[in-house]
Amino acid sequence: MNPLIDAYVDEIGQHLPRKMQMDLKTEIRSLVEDTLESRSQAENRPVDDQMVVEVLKQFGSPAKMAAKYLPPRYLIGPRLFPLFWLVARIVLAVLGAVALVSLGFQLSQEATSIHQALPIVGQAILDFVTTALSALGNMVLAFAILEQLLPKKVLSEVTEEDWDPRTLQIKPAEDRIAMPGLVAGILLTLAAILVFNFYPGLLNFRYLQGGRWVSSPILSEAFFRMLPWITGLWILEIVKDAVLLRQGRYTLPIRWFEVALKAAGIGVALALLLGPSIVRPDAFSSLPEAGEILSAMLPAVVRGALFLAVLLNGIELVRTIYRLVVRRPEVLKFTDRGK
Amino acid sequence: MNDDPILDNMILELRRGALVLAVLSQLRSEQYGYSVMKLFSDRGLEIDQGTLYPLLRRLEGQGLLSSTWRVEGERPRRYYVLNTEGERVLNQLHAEWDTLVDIIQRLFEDDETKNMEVNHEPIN
Repeated sequence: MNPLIDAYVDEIGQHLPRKMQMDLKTEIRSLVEDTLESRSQAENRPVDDQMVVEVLKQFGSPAKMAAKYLPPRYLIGPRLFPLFWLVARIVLAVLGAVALVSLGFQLSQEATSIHQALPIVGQAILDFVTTALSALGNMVLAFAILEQLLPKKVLSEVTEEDWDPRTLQIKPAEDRIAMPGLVAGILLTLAAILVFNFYPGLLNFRYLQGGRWVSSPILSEAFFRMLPWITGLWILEIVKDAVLLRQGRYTLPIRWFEVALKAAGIGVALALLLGPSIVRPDAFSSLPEAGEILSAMLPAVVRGALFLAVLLNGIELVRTIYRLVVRRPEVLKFTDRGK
Repeated sequence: MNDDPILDNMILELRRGALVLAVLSQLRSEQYGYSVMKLFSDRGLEIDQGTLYPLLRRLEGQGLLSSTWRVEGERPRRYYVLNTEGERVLNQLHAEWDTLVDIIQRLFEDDETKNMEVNHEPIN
């Protein structure tokens, strides 16, 4: 018995599952000894430590040798990795958006100068990194457990015999979706619904007067009368984005739904533009000097912005309808066959 | 081995495919790991121990080989031999190998003109 061979075989055993250990260790020891015996005869010299070292070197390191007896092992294998990557991106985007909204809220409440803002921003970045790492760790753990527990056939690729090229979804460039943009859009719309409907105070104009903070509402009753309609449109927008996320591409019904939403949005913007001002006339009146000018200017600026929104969205709407009615039917007919 | 890692990798892939056939071909009679290695070596086929021994285990796991432990002198040895399924697979692989060698040989023998003609024929 050579202690080097013992150590080599023992270390290989440490890399193997328990039930394989005894059998494989015996076999590898036998193979090493066969090789030594043969070499000893060929070189006409007795087995010594130097020869053992050379033979073990030939066999390879214990970890490498043991690995060759085992099937490939994954924490998250090829069948689950695409799903893991998709979930990871969505979760990180959600965490990023939540962190940004939370940071914005904290800054508006607590920071009055750059010196106060910097530590808040630093802490927010640190919190985000910690939360993201923790979320990623939990996801890896969850997917690693799934990898072990899911039957082999689940989420496996379809077999070659079952695969039909006609099931391929041909996606023209304009039908492709940008997933991170959609997720961010859903989150921002959700945040807007919450803020405008449940925390309208967050939208107030704040300023320091005589050493204390003064809060003054900007939006008028006219705006809040239209808010249920705006909220309804936002909810429909979220529904459309969620359907898009699920389908992974634009389809003809989604395009027309988007057109209807855009038209309704233009209608609401027109109502806001033509109705009473959505900005309170006294929003800045309590400001010592610039108050009057600001109070006079803001309604005009808002009306200008609404006019531009109506104009640009109107042009975009006409272009979209033109594309759908005149240019797209051929492409859409072809892509719909793949569904 | 060459200095060209791409070529090295290609040679490795080429040999890996042929190795299963080579191993099965030597196991119509009982052999243990080192004796297979010797048989290969005597015929000029050098093979890494770390490749051959796990391959024997894998082929046994796939149900192509049977194995038994025998103690010879002081040393226990695991002997491998083809079972019925292994015989069947070996025969099919052998036929496949002959066809492949024949095709590759003819491809190499084709002169440039023939290649040009082949390239201009439509592929069905």
